[in-house]
Amino acid sequence: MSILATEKLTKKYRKITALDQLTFSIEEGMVFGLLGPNGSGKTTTLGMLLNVLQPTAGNYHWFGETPSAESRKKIGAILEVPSFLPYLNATQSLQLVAEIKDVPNADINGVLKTVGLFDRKTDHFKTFSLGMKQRLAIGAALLANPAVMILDEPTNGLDPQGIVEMRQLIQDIAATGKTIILASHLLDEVQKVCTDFMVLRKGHKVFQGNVHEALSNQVRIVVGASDMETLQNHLSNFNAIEKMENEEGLFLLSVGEGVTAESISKYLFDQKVILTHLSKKEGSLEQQFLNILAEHD
Amino acid sequence: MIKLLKIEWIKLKHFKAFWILLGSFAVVNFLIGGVGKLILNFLKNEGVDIYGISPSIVPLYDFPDVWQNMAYILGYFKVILAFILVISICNEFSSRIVRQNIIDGLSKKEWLTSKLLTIFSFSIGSVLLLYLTGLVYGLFLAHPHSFDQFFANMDIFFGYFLEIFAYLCFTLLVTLIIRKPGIVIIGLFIYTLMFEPFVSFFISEFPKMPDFYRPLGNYFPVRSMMNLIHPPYPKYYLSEIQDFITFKEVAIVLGWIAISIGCSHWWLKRKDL
Repeated sequence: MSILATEKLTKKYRKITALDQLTFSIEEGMVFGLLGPNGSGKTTTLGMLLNVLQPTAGNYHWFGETPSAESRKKIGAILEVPSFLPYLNATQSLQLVAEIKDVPNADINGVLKTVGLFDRKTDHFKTFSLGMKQRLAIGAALLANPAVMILDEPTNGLDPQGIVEMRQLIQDIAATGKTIILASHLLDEVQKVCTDFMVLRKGHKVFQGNVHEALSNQVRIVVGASDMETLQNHLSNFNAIEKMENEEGLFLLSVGEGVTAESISKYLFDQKVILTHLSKKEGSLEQQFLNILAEHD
Repeated sequence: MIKLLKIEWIKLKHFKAFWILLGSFAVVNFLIGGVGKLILNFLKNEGVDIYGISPSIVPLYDFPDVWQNMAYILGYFKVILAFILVISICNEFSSRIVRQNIIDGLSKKEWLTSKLLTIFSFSIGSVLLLYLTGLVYGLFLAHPHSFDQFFANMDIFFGYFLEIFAYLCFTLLVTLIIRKPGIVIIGLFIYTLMFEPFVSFFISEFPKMPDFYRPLGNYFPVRSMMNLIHPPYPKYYLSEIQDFITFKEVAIVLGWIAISIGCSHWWLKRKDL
């Protein structure tokens, strides 16, 4: 059973189609990155999955059930900005959430410690910095110990230190085995945390796959020699090399399956070219993301 | 139910504007009670007399009239309770709490129910407040013989309850649609106390108005709610007054309650938050 499955989910605002027939599913334990440029439909998707936006067409199921308020209680979610009543303090804000989620005896102090706000528990929400507001929102999402967490741009607007703290917090939560849906445009973050990802562009799904697999397609081999011209000649005769780019006096080779640094080195050695530089460059999700978007331009 | 009331209580008990407005409504209740006595004393000191009778013996505070006398005037001050509702709900929208409540697992219907429970509590509370202030003034100022009639005309309380409940439901609908506290408050104030009284009075009383249209004035929302408690004062210059509630008057108001709640639900259900 999938944690979440959508079928042809569509949202139209007058003439604009914000999301067009999105079908995807998320399995238990996935840390699922939802990627896409601004305005690609990430928040629209999450809004519909959380019943604050009405789908124009299509449907979705949480935990294999027709979505209801009950299923939302098993989800901890923050959508866009952290939302609390400004005149409530941290403890009172979490009490309100605990009542709604039917866990009136939830461990509020424990959650406040987890997100590092225990010292500020009697301070009003309106006195909090943005980073603290974000952390309180994550605390609220954690309250009922949900099976699924939805985090929409959790590092938006944070300072560098706040981003590092937030990333650490997400990684800690992911380590507890929860299913996480993380919408972000910080690809580095998604690459570090996520197991799977989906790319949206102008309301369409353009890619869905496993982060590890997507990155292993991306491995490139970097070579250099004292005589770059000879090197280039020999390399252009090597069929398994799909693409060769010159970067800072070295060649960046995109290679087909089965080609390794070893096989290239051996080939060049047979051609009597001695390398001064040989290294493997891991792919980045950023590169992959840009490739995917470029393909669909 | 209890859960929804608890949620509302957490939201309201720390909200300053709630206590300030609630306090002023209670103070108004007490002042309204005293005004009658002040006017009578003023008239007496001015040397006014009515067919040779001193105004100070006008039985404003006799049971059961004291409650209707107060309830009629307090009917205009129910806007204070409406303002509490407007400010707190608009605050919830602007700080995106409604949206977050839904995300956290409240259904839209539950959210609406929680507001209706608040409205119900306000209405019951106002009835109790009216009962208590009337009782206190009555105990001091009523003519002793009127205590025999203490339990007469209890339908005034039902009428007052319905008036406030219906008006707050109407306010809820307007607030949900407009969501801007300033506009809603000014709009409600002008509509309730000026625009609708004028229009409905015009329809009912304008000399050239065809008789067929005259009763329509009684179907306007605010007027129909005010009609539940008729002005009691004419009786003091010996005119007939209506001190009971008719089935038709109740039916019209119940109709407005149903429209307000029904439309609120429909609006909330189809709107993006």
